[in-house]
Amino acid sequence: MLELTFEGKSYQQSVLGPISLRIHRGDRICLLGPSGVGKTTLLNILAGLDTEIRATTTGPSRELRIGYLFQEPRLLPWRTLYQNLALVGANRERAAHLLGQVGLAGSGHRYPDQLSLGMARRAALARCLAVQPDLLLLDEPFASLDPERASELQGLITRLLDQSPSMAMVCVTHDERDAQALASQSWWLEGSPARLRVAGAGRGAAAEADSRSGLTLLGRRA
Amino acid sequence: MTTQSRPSGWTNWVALPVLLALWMALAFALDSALLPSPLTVLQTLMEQAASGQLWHHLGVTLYRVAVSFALAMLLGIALGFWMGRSATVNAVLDPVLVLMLNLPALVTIILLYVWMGLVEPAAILAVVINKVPNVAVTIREGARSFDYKLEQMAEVYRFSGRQRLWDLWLPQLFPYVMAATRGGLALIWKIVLVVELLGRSDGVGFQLHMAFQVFDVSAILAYSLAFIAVVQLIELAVLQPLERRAHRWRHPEARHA
Repeated sequence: MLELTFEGKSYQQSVLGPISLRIHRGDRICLLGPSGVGKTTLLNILAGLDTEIRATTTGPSRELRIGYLFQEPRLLPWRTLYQNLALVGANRERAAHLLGQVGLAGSGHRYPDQLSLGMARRAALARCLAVQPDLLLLDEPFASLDPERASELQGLITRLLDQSPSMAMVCVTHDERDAQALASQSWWLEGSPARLRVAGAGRGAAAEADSRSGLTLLGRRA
Repeated sequence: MTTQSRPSGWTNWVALPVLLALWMALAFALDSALLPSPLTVLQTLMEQAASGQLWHHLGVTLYRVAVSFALAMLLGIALGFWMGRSATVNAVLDPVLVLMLNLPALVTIILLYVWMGLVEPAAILAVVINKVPNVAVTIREGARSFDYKLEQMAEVYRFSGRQRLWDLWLPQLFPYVMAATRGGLALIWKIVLVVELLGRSDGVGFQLHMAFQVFDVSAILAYSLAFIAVVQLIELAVLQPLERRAHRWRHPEARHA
């Protein structure tokens, strides 16, 4: 579905080393690694936000639809939730449905500033779903939430993934327990400049995932 | 932005009445035609209003302010936005902007009257040229401070050009547009008066010129105060409601923890 190979990414200093990876339909990947190693940088590259490095889409040639849950909700604060969802193409009815799905039924007329962080993050998740993504990118979705809210959101994301089995997910986290709960495979970013290491983890390791989705991973190094 | 609580109503009614009382006392003490009392000024104002003179000249000046204000804002916002978004454009145009910022209003006015004659377009153009650089500088600051995180979001979700303009950029630019408007209105009407004084045969500036020639301080004050009142009215009736409306999202009625 998505292939990415590049020789490295540097800002003032080298952040990412050579990396090559493939994501397939239905993959559930957790991207782990210490803070500041370049996880978000890699996620931004996957989202097409990098001007130099582009991932190539394989398979059916239409453009990949991407839902990106940023670390901060990044809703437009001067627009209500309905308006925020309308901007990515969800009409009122669908927006109401999506907000209901993430447990925000009846909040469509609120402004993002009126929501707690947990609620705003769920509203941003609703926006991800509104584009019917092929690839869902989550950047530390459970950060700054109390344990109860975090496990609630984890349950919600698992349910949503189960509802759309063809949707691929890459979730950045530094907590292995999140990986256990959400993902069928784990990728580790380590070192400086960072390399990608693939580890079997989560629900029955990469081998199982491999046979299920025909996964090919070029991981490690290019 | 406004974390302070709203001060109570009486605070608005201190400075101006005190000033008025001082003026009255001073006029009474001096007893000179060069400082007429507020009552004399009011009387002049009533006479001018009754004869229709006041409305005519006020209307003409207001028209010039409105036209040049609209043009200056439009051009200034476009220019400032362009310069704020593109480093190249900014590098090319910045010296011109600095030059124009430092060009005295009087020079522009005189030159345009000399080149174009004492005509209406010259008057309007002179005001616009004086104001555009100020607007552009303010708007450029706004366009530079756009939130890159929201830009990334708009990129991922493939916002159209129209959506970027209306839903992403203009709301972020709005405080800067309001600042330019506030400063703009005050500056523009002052320049318009000079333009009228130098080369028009109507408007508040022209009337001030006439009054100046006979040292009619009462008429000078009457016309000035009348126009200050008009600008104040615009502030209260147009700008403040507009600002409140646009800032609704900043003061949500019910906050959640």
